[in-house]
Amino acid sequence: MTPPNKKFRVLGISVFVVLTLLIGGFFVLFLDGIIKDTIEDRGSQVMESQIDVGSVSTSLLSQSMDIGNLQIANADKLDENLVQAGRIKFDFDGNRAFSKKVIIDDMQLEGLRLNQKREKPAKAYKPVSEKSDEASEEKSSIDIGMPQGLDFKNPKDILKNETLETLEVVEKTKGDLEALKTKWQTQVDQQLSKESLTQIQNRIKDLQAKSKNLKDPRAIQSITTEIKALRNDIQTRIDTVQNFKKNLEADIRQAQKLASQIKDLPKKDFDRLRKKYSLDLKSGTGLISKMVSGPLKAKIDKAWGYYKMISPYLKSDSDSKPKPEKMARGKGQFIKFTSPNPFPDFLIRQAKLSMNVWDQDVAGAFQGLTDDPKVYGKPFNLNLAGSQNETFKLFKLKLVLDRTRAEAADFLETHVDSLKIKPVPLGKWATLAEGFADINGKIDIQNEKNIKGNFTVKVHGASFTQTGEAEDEMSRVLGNVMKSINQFYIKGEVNGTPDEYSLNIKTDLDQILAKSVKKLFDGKIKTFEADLKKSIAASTAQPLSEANGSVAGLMDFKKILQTEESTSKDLLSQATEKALLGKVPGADSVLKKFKLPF
Amino acid sequence: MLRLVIKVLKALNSNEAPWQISLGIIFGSILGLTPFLSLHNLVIVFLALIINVNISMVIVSCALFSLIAYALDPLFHQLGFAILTSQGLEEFWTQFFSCPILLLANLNNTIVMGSLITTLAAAVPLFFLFNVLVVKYRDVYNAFIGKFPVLKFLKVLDIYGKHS
Repeated sequence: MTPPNKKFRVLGISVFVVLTLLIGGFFVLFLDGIIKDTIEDRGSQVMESQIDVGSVSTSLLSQSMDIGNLQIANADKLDENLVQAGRIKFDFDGNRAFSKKVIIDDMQLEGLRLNQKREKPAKAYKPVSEKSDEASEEKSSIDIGMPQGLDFKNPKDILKNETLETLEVVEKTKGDLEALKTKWQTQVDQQLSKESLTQIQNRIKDLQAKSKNLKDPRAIQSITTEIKALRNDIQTRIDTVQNFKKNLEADIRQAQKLASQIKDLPKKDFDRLRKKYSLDLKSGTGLISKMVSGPLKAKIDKAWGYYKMISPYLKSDSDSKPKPEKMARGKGQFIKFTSPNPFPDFLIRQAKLSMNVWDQDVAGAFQGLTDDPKVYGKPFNLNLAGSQNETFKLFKLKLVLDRTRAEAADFLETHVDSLKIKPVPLGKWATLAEGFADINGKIDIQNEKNIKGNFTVKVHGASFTQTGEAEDEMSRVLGNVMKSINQFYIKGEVNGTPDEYSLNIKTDLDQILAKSVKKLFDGKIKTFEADLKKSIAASTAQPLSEANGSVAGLMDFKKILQTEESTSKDLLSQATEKALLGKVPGADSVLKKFKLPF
Repeated sequence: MLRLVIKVLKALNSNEAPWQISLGIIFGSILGLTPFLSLHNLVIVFLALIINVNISMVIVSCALFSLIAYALDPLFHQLGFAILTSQGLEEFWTQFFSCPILLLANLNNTIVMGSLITTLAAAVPLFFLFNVLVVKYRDVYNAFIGKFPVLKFLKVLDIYGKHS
């Protein structure tokens, strides 16, 4: 042992060397297992889906690694692998590893496959979203059957299930008209009552009686005052009647307007129901467009899933400053500093890959897969190509993910020549048994969210067979028409964001089918539409006539007011001094006795 | 636990110089308070092995400081974050971390930096403090033993040696 007073012990160096060698030796011996476990455990946690590695072989001397049978499970579909690779072989830059940078100059990826069935279901690292599965299955299904309207429902049954706007509006109008009628009835009863009219008539009679044998000047003066009061009352009544007439005219105009509006409603209802239940032959049947759009949307959604999976690793905000984060216990936070010679933390400069597409091997390469494209300065570029095999004559795919500028600009381009089509059932009436498709398409994604793209599929050498299940006339006709077609095209446009995009599909098949259907269904459509019109008319006739009756009821008040006005005017002519006092004998002489003082 | 206490007592009462014990405690505190699997701890282990410090005190100190390390982590994180993101030091750190080995040592980690700065800053005053304490302890201990002949006899028998 070293004596206590000595400051250094030489033996310590030997112990340190031995300890270091032991630890180093342990890591070298078990490095492959450590890397395999790390990829499986840490990788699964980061990706939130099970990662399996068949084997890992590392050579520190040659600075290379060989990973066999890598499988990344689909987190939303546990019995499927999202990606699997037969072999990944690469050399890494050992010097850069000291700076915690993973730089791979050359990589070989063999046997890459997407969406393969797993032997055993994967472990769930996050809740599996069942809804997305159902939705994608629904979208990918092309058996949509017949569109509504081809089986022509009975108009009476249609009206049982549909609410007619006519009836709703008529009910409301009737209510409004009834309220008006009640208002006028109340006004007439209260302000132009028969009792008040009788009272006026009685007052005239009284005055006539009083004016007989009238000699006393005072009595005459009193009667004159009464006559004036009576005339005033009658005039007030006339004014009220004239006022009412004016207001009633306005109400009648309003009621007539409502009545004229509801007259057009049955036609509106008819047009709506015809559009819904009849067959619109002008725009074609739209059958093929509908059938194609579902599976195509499923494919676009799936491609978007892959895009979203890659995108976070190609970050575009390399200049961001460190922000305080919630510290993980015992782990802290790593702060990044700008380097005089900045370089990405992760980079695969170039990789050659072989991939399985439509059960055929295609070869390709990608360049510039990095976590910091702005620092690296080059976009990610993937090219795949294959030719002359059982499935297609030529296949080309080019994917560019450019995050080197302020706004990400990515695009995907595909070109396929003579892709052999597998049998595709088209509803219950035909099957596209065979054919070859030439596919051309390009999709641009701006700023990782705005999608704009178009594609064309030209099918030639097509052969349709009629499905035995076709039971109705329509299916048989469509099946027969399809049998005569040997080439067609489908064109599509995609616009919008990944969460909400529009997919417009045009195909000449729809026009061909529409012509055939028109021949078959023209007569039936006319009969159906006539029946529908009759049914709507029958359902709406009575309510409409009741509404019109209500308008007529309002017109009755006009007559009442006119009668009232003429009666009142007649009474006013009776209630004059001349008419009433003129019959008094000597009335003039009595008045003449009064002498004016001037 | 008893063995640890005996190791401490034995070290304190041995013929070793106080600096050997104090430096052992300091090395142990760095090992215990900073994340163990760090490159700088390899240097500390190396130093502890070649400098003639009391290894028992290194082990005991490391174990004791490890117990409180987790509780101090949030403080170390805050200190480390403040130091590493300080605007005045930005240029210095940029130059400092251009050396790959320093990145490999995880010195850009907030906890590693915070705990290492704390322990290194405390090391010098603590070293002298522990020196004084060891000397004081030995004075008190020797005076206490001197009063009781039985204890003096047991010391001669080196009872600690048998238990350690």
